[in-house]
Amino acid sequence: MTEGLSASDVLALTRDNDNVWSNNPFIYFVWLALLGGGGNGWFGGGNNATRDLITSTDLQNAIVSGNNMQDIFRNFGELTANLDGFERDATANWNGIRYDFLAGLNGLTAEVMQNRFENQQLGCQTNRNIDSVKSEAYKNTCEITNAIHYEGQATRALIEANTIQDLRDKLEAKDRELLGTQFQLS
Amino acid sequence: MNYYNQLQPQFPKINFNQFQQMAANLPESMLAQLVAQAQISGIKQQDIESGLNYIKSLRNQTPYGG
Repeated sequence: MTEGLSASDVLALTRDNDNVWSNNPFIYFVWLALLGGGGNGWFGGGNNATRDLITSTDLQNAIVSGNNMQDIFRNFGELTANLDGFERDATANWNGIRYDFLAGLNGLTAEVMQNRFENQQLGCQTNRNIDSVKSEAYKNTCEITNAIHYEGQATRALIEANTIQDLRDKLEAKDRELLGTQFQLS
Repeated sequence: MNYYNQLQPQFPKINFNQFQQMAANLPESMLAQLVAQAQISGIKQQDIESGLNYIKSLRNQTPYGG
């Protein structure tokens, strides 16, 4: 069945390499057999000693037997299951981290709001204290002004009383002087 | 579960140059055993024949062929 390959057959096969690689299970079967034994190739590299080894039917069976193929498929299945489990764990852990982060952020926001409220309260208290000081200062200024005003009034009254008394004294002196003159004339 | 159908796309791709070199050095007796193993594994005869023809064509073309 393998003899008599025509040139057109070869051309047809070689011009459609990709299709042969991807679709022919026998090619892949041979590829797996060639790669058997850790990827170095049981049959490759032109190594005659290796080539002699692989003529052993037992060795070949160990490489390409259906049981080993099933092992490969089972290993892939386990690998995929482990990967799915890892993805689930990663998703769960990430959700947990995200929840913790949001909870922490929420607490931090509440703390900031509380600090802002306390700062506002402190500011209001300070303003009240300032107002109180200003009020006290105004009161003191008013009292001092009134005191000065009263003092001025008292001073002016005293000066006025003294002036009046001085004028009275002078008037009495003139009266006495006039009476003395009139007495001498009479 | 059919692992083959599920996981086949994840299998390593065939390296053309490496395959060509390996196939060129593959003894005729070994190729015959591989054909027998493929038949036992349930690979279609048509696929085996076309694949075998392709490998032989590589051996005729390649400088690696012995």
